[in-house]
Amino acid sequence: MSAILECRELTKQFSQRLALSKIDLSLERGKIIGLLGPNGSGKSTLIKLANGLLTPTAGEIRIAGMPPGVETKKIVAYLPERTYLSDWMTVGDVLNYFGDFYENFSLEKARDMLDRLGIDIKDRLKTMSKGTKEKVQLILVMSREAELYLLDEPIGGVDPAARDYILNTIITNYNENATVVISTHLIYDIEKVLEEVVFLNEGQVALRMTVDEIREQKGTSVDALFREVFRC
Amino acid sequence: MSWKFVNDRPIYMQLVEQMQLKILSGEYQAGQKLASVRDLAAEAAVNPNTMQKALAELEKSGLLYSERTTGRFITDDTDKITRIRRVYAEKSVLEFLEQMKGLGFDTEETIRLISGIIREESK
Amino acid sequence: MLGKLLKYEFKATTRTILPAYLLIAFFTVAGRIATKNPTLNSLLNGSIAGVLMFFYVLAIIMIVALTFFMILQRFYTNLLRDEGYLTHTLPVSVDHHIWTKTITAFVWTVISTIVVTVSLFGLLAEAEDIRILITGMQEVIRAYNEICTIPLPLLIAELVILALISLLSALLNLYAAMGIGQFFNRHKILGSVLAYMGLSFIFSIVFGVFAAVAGVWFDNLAGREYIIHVVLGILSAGVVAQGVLYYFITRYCLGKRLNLE
Repeated sequence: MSAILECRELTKQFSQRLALSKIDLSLERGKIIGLLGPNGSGKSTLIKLANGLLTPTAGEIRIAGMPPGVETKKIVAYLPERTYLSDWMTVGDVLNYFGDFYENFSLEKARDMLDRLGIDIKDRLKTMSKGTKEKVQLILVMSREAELYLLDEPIGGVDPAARDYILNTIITNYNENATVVISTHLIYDIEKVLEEVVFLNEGQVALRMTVDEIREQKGTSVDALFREVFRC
Repeated sequence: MSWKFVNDRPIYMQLVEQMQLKILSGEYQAGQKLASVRDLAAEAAVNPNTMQKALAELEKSGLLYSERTTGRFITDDTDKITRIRRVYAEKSVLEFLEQMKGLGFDTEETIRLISGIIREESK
Repeated sequence: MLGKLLKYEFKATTRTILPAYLLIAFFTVAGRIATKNPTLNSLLNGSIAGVLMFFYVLAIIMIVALTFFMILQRFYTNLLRDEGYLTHTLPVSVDHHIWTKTITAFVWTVISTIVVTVSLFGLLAEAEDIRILITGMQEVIRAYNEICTIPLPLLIAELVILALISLLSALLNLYAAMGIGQFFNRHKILGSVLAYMGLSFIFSIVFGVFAAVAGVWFDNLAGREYIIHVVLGILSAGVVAQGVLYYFITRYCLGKRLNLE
């Protein structure tokens, strides 16, 4: 009951390649977990499956015990790597949109964060830089009181100051009922914020440990271990 | 309120050490109420559960205590703090003496060096 | 949820098509003034009228094209491209998404048709023309009532319903084609076009066979008036069946087989 995400022999086959192969994974609530792996390891595929954007070829995936569907979408907050907002909308329009469709969306929280980052809600998305659009998307996601946050490269395109702000938001947003999954390449920057990491390689789980275990047992940082495991 | 971390040691251990120093140095005062786990974690930019683990360790060692409804506090047992401070200091001195021995100084020379430097500093 | 989806869908589409409607309103008024005003006409040698007529025709073509492409574009961008990452993660069923697009497309098609018709009338019709039209229609009604006992309003209602159902079916046809098109990884648009042609082809054959069989059967019933109802009924049923099939194809493509990028 406490597991927020469960995969059982989860497999996803595309016409040209096998993206995920019999993945068994169980993520507990109340954790900040890193989903790490090189390009093509299956990270995005796993996240899309959790969102119901893809259907498993075999095996199953469950969110809070339910298969992906309308009910799970209410409690899952997803930040994809791409811009997914309509260009013609203003930030205010998007806030109303989220507020309309998501019951657990907090307008005040979003407004507050936009304020702190100096983003005007009257601005049209079309006029914003890519980095600002990414910040807006992140704010929208973090303003939802979800049970599972799936963040795909949340700090990739932003400056270091914004990066600190984003990590700070993730920490202060923490609650023991929800789990945050961060998929990223920038391990060094977020390592201290993670409690556990899952290494994916070629569609399989290569490693699953807590950050402290890695440091204690291997005597290196997660970043260093990653480089070692995935050395080209 | 600066926190510094190295890469190859568990974060919770480093948190324990740095919090101890903050308590011993007086940056955190005896009897002071601590901020929430989340706020402390945010300040140190670390995972809240890791911070929780560190705080639990400090509670075990007696430097912190928690009251269910009111929160966590630095111990107001100043004697205890003094004792631990002394233990730390002794450890530092022993380490220092080892270092000096490694450099080729014997005890006499080390004491003279210390006095000399202190006199210079106070001028 | 459907209501909210419709609200945003109308918001997104109105801002695209309303300017076109306003434009045509302008050209209708301007055109009428230019062509029907004798003094103005002779003054400008009819050249301005000619130019206005040109732009007017352009505006009509634009409304038709804009309505069509907007319908395609909304479905494609909002459900099958980057925006799909937002749309498909909303706590909303696939059915609601399909109905949202279908309903708004239907509404805009009907409105565009009305706008163009009213505009043409507004531009060209004289009081004289309207009188002729009305007398002509009365003549037709009188002649009809002599031949046929089926009340004309009923017949017209049946035809209108058939037309509207056909519109819905045609829209779902487009959506099904786009749904299938997304499987052609690098050539989604080409795939959609091929799928559309394919579906149309299949259905025209089915209809052809059906019509041939029905034709034989009808020969036996020739002479009875209620045949009209039967024919229209069967046609409607056929269109509905087609529409339902398209709906399920679309649903399957956007549901189980969804694969965004």
